[in-house]
Amino acid sequence: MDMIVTQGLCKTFKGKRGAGPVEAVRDVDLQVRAGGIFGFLGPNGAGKTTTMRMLTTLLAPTRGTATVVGRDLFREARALRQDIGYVSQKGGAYEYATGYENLVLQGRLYGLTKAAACAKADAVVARFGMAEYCKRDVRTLSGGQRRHVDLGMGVMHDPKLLFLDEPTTGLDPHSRARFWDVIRTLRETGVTVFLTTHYLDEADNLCDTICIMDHGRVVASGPPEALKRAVGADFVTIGVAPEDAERARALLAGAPGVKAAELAGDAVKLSVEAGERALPALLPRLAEAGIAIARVEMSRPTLDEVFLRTTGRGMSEAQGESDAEGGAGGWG
Amino acid sequence: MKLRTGLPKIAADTWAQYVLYLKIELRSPFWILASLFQPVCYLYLFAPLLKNVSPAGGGADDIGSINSFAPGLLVMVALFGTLFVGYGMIEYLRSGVIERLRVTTASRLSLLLGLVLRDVTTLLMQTALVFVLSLPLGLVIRPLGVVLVVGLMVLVALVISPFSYSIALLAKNEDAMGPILNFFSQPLLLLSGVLLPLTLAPLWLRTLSDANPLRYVVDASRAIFRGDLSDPSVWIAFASMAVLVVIAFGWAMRQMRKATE
Repeated sequence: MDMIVTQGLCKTFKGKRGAGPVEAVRDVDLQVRAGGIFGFLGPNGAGKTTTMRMLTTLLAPTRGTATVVGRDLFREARALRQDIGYVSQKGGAYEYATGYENLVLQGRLYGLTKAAACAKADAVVARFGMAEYCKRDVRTLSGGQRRHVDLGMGVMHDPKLLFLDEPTTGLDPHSRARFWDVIRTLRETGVTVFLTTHYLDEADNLCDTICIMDHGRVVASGPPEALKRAVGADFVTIGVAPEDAERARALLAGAPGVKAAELAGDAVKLSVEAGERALPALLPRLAEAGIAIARVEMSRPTLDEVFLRTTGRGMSEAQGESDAEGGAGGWG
Repeated sequence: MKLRTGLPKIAADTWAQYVLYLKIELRSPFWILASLFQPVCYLYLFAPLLKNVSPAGGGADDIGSINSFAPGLLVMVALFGTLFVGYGMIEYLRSGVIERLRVTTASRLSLLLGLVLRDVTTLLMQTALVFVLSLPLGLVIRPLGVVLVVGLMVLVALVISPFSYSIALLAKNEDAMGPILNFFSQPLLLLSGVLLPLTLAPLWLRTLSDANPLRYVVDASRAIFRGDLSDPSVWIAFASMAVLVVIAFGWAMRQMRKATE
């Protein structure tokens, strides 16, 4: 079964004060299967959050159709809400209430009786290890603890599909790793998780399928491994003495398996097919020419290379752009 | 699990939110005490000043008497006690509370009603205090009068509180919110005859005050305290407030939806 199917989903915002309209999401076709973690990767302003806000019934699309958990997004929005959970970037817990009170109210708004909501809240507290701090006001919690409360609220009604908007933004590495584990346990219980992220490592480590978005369009989608394999090249850096660098580059450029070779200071950067097979043949060539090798590095393509291939620029570069655009970042 | 719909759903959702909002409010009693300070000041520091501005012959505008001043003060408390509730809404909007609530199955009306009922509850506490503090000053009360006046004040709160939330959702920040609220509230208050009798006013000012619904509320409140329930201001006040409640709720519901888009 498909959890989400969209066709030609578009959202255009009216421009603020004389600025032209902003096409935040353009013709997005998605198919998200049940089970697993689906990641929406892209720089700020790519349209990830806007797409998510449409799929969670907060925002009406300008055009296009969408079916979420088998229900039409427009005609069955009310019934649909029972099957989805949503944890926004801001969380949205009451700061001056305790984590536990937040959980219970959330449950009651989904139709649980007071007793049922309390029982469910107890279960969520135990499952996410929140016993220590769930009776404290949310405003006094650390970033990681607060995220657990937010996530707990999102699963109080056992949704089939859970939306997480930038779930680990602002968390320290340790809290991030712990939070990833919690999200993985959700997958094991059969919840389909749909998350947005601008962290490449998050998409790579956590997601079963990813979808890369840029300027409101989907530019690539598939399992992270497949996307990286499709880049079709490994990267080899060979460090040599500065005076040998150009000679080394010329020697290696014509070698079998080498697709491109360029100078980077006192090193030659190669793009090669199947590095593990090409490398043993490359090094003797340099030795025969009397060039001493200072260092050798090889790396597999990362999602950044995938992003570079599909959009023509690196992820960090794109992130910088959207930050510079300022206002546009808000469309998320 | 059988899911509630319609009115039972609205009632259950509203109650669940209302109880939590009230709990949160009662945890910081300082703010409740602070909000009660204003009526105390007006009763003991301002009312004595009015002894000499009463028009000759007394009558409806004889606000030098506590039985005329206290009913007006109640309206002022209803106005200013609920006018600034929107600040809390800005906080909720910023921290994503409203957005989170709107993705749940909670009835859309309950999202507003839970907050508004908390505000009405706060107002009832303030109203009770005005009554208690006015008694030693010579206020004469009748059971039916108290019920009617309190009912009228609840209607005022049911208008002003959603109005304040709408302004908050439109302004989206505290700095813009204050001036906007003052822009509306100051003329409403001055043209209501709460602080000084409108019989002192020139004709054009009195004509202007005829267009102020709050003026009828003040007149009605005084008439009810006098025991004069047949005064036309009484039905005008109830009718106009009832209409405004519907408008204020409709507007606030719309702004809540738009603010999270």
